[in-house]
Amino acid sequence: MKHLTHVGSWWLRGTAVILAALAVMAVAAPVAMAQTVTLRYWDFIDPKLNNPRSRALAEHIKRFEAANPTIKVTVEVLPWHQVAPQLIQAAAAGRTPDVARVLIWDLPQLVKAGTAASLNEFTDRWPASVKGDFVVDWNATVWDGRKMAIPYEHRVFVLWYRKDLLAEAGVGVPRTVDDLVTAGRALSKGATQGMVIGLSRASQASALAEWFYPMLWAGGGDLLNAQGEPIFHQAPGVRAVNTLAELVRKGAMPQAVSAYTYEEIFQGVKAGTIAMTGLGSHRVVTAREAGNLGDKLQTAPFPGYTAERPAPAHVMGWNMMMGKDSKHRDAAWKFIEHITTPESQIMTAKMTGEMPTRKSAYADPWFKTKEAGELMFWKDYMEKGGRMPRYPEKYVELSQLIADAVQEVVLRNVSAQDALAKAADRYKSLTK
Amino acid sequence: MRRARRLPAAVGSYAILGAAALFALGPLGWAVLTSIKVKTQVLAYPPVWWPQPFTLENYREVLFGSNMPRYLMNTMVVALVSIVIALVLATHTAYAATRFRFRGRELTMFLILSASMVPIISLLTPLYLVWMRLGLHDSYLGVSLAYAAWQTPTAIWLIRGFVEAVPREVEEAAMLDGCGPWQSLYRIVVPMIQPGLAAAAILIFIYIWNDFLLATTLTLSEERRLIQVGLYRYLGDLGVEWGRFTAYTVLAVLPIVTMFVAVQKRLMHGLATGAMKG
Amino acid sequence: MVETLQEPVASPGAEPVWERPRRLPHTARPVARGPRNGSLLPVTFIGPTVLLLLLVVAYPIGYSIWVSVHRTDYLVIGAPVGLRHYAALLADDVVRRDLVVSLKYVIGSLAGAVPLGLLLALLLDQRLPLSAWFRTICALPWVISQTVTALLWIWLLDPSFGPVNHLLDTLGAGRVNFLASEATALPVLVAVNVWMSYPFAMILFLAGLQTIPQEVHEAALIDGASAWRKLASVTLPLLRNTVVATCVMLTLYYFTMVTLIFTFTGGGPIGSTEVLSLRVFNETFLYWRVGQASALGVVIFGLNAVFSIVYVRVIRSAPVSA
Repeated sequence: MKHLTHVGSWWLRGTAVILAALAVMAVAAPVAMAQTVTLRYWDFIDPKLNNPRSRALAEHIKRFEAANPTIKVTVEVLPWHQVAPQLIQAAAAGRTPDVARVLIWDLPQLVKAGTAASLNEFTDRWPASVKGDFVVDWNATVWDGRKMAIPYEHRVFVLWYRKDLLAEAGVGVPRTVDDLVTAGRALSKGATQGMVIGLSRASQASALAEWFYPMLWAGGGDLLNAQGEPIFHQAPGVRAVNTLAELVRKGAMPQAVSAYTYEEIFQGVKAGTIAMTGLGSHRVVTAREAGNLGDKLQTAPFPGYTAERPAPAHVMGWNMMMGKDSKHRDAAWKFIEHITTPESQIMTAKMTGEMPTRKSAYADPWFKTKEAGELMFWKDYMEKGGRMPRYPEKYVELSQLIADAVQEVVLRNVSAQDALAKAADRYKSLTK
Repeated sequence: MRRARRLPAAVGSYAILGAAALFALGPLGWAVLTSIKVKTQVLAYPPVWWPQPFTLENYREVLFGSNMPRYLMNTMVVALVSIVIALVLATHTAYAATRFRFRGRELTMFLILSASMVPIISLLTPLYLVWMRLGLHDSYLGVSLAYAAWQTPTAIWLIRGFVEAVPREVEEAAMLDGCGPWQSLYRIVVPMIQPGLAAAAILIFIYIWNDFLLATTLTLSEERRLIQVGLYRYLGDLGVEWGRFTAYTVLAVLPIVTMFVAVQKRLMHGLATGAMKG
Repeated sequence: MVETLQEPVASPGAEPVWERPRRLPHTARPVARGPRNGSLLPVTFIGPTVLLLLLVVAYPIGYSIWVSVHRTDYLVIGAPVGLRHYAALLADDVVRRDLVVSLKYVIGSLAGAVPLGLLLALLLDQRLPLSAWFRTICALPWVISQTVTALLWIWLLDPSFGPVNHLLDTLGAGRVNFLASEATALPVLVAVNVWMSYPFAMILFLAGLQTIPQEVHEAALIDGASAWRKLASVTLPLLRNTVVATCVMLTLYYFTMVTLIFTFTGGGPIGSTEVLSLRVFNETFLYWRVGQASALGVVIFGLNAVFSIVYVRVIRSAPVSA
């Protein structure tokens, strides 16, 4: 019993100390809270890592916090293809982050699922000159009159090629789909894969979907018509898929691409096992550094059906969105505004090769330098007929249906017509 | 099978067991080797079998450059809470089921045990919706309650065998001395079924440590993230960095493998008692 | 793999214990003095468990059934639609394809894990020197999670840098991208699942073998029975119930697996590894058709229940031969 009383008094004392501490905190906390706001920010880039895009994000946050000593930004990192699903979950739980970086093609779904807060109260303060300063039309991120996101960067889908391997094989930079076949065959030997377009449905099937749009446009078609009905199964789509199947059939592209995701292709480029592929321009700088590739890695407009007309550029990008549950809307907006200013974008462009979304950013003298030549070439490709499509709400699911269809063509020799028509039918039944 | 000790048979047995051991350890061994390679040797063809030079850089990056330690802690906390809840519930239920006779006992026990027949995948969507509604989503308590509930029937099934094995005479003697069922359970039965409790605790721990599905559904934020979800999330933006990734895997597997090797003999005994009784 | 132990009712010994009290009258003795204390006693002992299970299992299942007959828009539950989601499931080719994949997956995995587990259990049961070591090593994949398993094997089978392909290459077979072709993806997935789950079968068989009385072994020896004949005529019949129980537990487990497949192939290529439970997961957390997903979850639950009942029947009707 003595023992028990001893324990009891120990407990009592402990509890008293904790209560006292809590009381002190209760008094002190509001004072401290009034001083700092902590923003929860979701990004797929980990600012702690050491690569161009991570360093750029870390620098943005550092500068933002220095300029706004009362605001702290905590970054929560998730894989890029998980950002949208997790945001939808978070919104349903009433716990969205204050700010999130989201892909342009995820936005329609995110807006529909009610995850984003309207930015009108803030953007209304912007003069028309600022609204007009964006490279892509202001209304591309407006739904029902509500501005839902501010573009952070742009990239174009381009042909990535290894200059050294092309020279070794004695082939020029492909300018048509037929050139791709020739070059791909010449480059495919040993562990080297000549040409690669990923067909996996994983990671949003984005490796394929990013390629499909420009090829549809090159053939005069599109994914959906103005009413949102599928038209990708018409002649231009069939033609595009057939060119891809031909790459495989003629040995320019390994059949294994049916399992490749965006990440795996990037990994292959880095490791030097992929000679040519199509990816976004935004990762070129990072790939060069990670793979120690220097200027061996180059880009060109993606080949179209004739040498004079490359496939129109598919313009994409990340956007800054405010979570609907943000309790610190002013601070969140400050962060969004900060990270999308022309100054910030100039810094991003210099560090990562991602293209600014603000026209005025390009006025910086850096863009006239030789170093910026590649980025300006992408910008030129973007401006000459580049398009940013209005993605449908079920874009990811549609992309996966198309990926399955193309895999059927490549792996099972199903006709492109039949496979795409089946995908179109399924899409119609899903959107009914 | 004693006969198989004849030499050729023994050689054959060892050959098969050796092949099986290689099959079992191969994938883990390759991961360990990869984790101590430098980047250029990770992505090399033909593969480099033996790391030269070897490096602990990947481990340093995982331990100090990622949130992995945090996920480890979270998983420990959740496992601990779940184990306590499940064992307390299971012990009482198993005791009542073996010692009391009451109306509807068979049906109650049948329903309790059937609960674990419900596949997680059927529960996932509704559990997610219900947990959000109750404010349990993304909390230690919420995910622990789910694990505890999901594991309680298993624990009952295991512990029951041990309770059965406690001689009734011991309890009866205590009862004559005026012990009620509560004291009888705590003072006599619980100390005697400790191996069963330990086996159940280990099983629950392994389950929680390895679960991805409930964890990814019921938690959301970085602060609540559990180890397997963290692992999946570690497949970063730049493709899988296999060196770092295998280091993470080795660190995530190490505690559970160590524990398993240390306790497997008892665990098997516990399982045998639970499974084969009755 | 430990998840499998979720199926206690399926264990041969589990339910009979509660059905047998009448044959073991002394079981009730402590309570013979108990009832006067009040019949509330069992409630206080068992009540909390029941409450928790009602909250975590019964309520969600009920809720799931309710959601499955309503229109849903993302996570908002709308107006009732009757059985429309179920009708849509019946009409959906993809669901039918996934069911077939599920069956192939379950049967293939059983065909791999059960014989392998049995073989190893029989070998280990000889108690050769070092048996304990081999048992530990062979049981090890049992504690490896599905996520880790998938990623370990992806790395092992990597077409560019993996050792398996290097072996194939040096043997002159050429490299194979196992996950990229319909012909290999499902077999490889099954093999990986066998790697992860055979230890469970092995452990249960070992436990089963240990319950076979020593005399039976010895009697067979005196008979001069050859090792094979003894196995076929003595050991295996005695293991019958354990084998059946293990098969059933594994079936229930395989049929409802998600994580391994989600991480290993994601269901591809062309849905050739998309099992029904993966579909449920994707329908909810990727496509947000929660009503449809709930309906499918209810169907899987139903199939599981039917299977469990059949199993209980089988075990009960098993001739208890000795």
